[in-house]
Amino acid sequence: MSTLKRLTGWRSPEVALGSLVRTAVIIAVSYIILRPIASKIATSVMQQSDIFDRTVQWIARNPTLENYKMAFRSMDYPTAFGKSTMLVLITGVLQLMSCTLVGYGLARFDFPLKNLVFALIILVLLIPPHIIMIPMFLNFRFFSLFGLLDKPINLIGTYWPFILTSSTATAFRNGLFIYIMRQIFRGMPSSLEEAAYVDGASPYRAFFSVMLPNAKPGLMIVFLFSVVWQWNDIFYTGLYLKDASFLPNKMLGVTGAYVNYFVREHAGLQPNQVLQSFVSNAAMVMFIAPVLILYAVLQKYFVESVERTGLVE
Amino acid sequence: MRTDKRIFRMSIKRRRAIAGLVFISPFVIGFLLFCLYPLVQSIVFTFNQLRVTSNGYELEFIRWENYRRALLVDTAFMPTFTGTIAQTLTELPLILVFSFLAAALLNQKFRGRAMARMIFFLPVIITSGVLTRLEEVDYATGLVDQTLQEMRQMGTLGIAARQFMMAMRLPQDLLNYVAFAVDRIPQIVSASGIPILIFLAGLQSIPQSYYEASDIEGATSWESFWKITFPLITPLLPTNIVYVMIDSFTAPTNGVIRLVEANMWSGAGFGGSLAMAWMYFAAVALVLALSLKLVSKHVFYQQ
Repeated sequence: MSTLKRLTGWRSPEVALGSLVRTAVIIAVSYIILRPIASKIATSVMQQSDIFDRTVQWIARNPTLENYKMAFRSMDYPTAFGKSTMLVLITGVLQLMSCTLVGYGLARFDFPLKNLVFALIILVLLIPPHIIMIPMFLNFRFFSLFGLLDKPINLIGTYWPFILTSSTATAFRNGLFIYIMRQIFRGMPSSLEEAAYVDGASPYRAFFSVMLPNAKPGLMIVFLFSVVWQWNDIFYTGLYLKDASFLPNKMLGVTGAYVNYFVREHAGLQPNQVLQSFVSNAAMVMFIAPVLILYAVLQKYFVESVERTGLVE
Repeated sequence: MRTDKRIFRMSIKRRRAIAGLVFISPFVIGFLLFCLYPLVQSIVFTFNQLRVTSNGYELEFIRWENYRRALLVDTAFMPTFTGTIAQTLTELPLILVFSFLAAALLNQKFRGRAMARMIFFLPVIITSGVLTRLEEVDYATGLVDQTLQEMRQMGTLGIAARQFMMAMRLPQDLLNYVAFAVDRIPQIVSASGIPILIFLAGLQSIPQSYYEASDIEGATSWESFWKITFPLITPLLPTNIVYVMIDSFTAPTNGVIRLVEANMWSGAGFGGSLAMAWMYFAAVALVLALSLKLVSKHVFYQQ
């Protein structure tokens, strides 16, 4: 027994077996999760000869960046990237502000109809976006604040629908963000604010100078979710902006754009399916890469301090 | 003067109530402007035929016609409707069990834990409808990923495993369920990101002293799992059930939502597709309420 411990650091055979099983499960699940990404990256640097080479399974014989060049050009990447980034930053910051305020209000104050408000937040979260899609469109197409404005304005095609819904905590899945922030504030000791109150601070001042800085992990998680879900979205950009030049749309249309370009360059010759697929895989990698980088930057808030996210009281 | 002053100076309780209302006011305004009105309008539309005209839209009141058509005339609606709900219901326990086990695993101390957690939460970031759509039509994904293609063709649970289970005389229903579960492992794993996060947060909030006490009393780790970990994690079941259900609404694979989308611009029209969406929503809300009721009996609250 002691030999085993000295050699492996394991206390007993049971512990050894346990850690073996654990490692196996973690490797298996990681494989399931990482395989699609790995396969996209592997495919995106291949050349046509690699597909017909029986010895090439994953690693291309002569990796090339040609597919990335084609995807970059076909997606009009800089423009699409810029548009998507601007939109997710606007909605992300606004949603972060509004959901944090509402979450704090629910966590720390008592007011009439509080339970009703909480139930409504869950209800809004539960409603499939498709149910209110047409009324939302009409609402913004003929925006009149219930007739308060004497002439309806057309907000479709502007960023206003995003700004309005994000700053009022009613955009996509904002109920979840409110819920997360509420749980985080509930998990923070009330002595924090009481100290501020003793010093004569108002609830608003206590919130901004004491509570907000301490809620950083939660804020990061909410911001990441908000950015990622808006990044992937084509439903709302299609509905409110009628604009298909954001990155996800460009990614979906990448093969078509590539075929057009190829036909022009090669005097009417069509690229075969293999070439199209290489470009499409490169486009997918270029679409996921920014969120992966953001995740890598913010991951410590998920990984090391889940307990401080206070998702549970 | 004196009374004026007393009216003016509010009690602390009142002032805090007002501060609370100020904090939640964004949502209240947003709900009234961008949720309540569209919701009511959406219900009204289901009883009407909606036509878009050059300067707005016209409604023609047709009573229950949209519902009647969806239920009795449309051949695609009922099978998709029942199929989708059945699928959500069969996947729900699998997601809950998997995410709970994964959270228990990720809560242990071992080398590479940070890396493992990062990978397990990754699907939250990279699983999206647009990617799935592109993957479905991708040529090389199938070519390079031969196993993936085989999985699509015959299911992950190979014929040998099926024959083995049949030889064991396991009931056919159980066999089917296991086969279904194995086939859907990738979907279940990728739907489990946030449930794992929630369970993990719950596990980390269990005081270490409970385990120390049970250790001293001579409990095995198996016993302390069922007597401490399991009951203390049950309050998170409702949260996760709600989340998994919500997630299934927006999943790219949701059949009813696809049908609603397809019917909006052609076929049943706006009113008809909204009627379908509302019936689906009502059914899911009912299922959700029932499953919450069922689970809440077994939830253990620490008091």
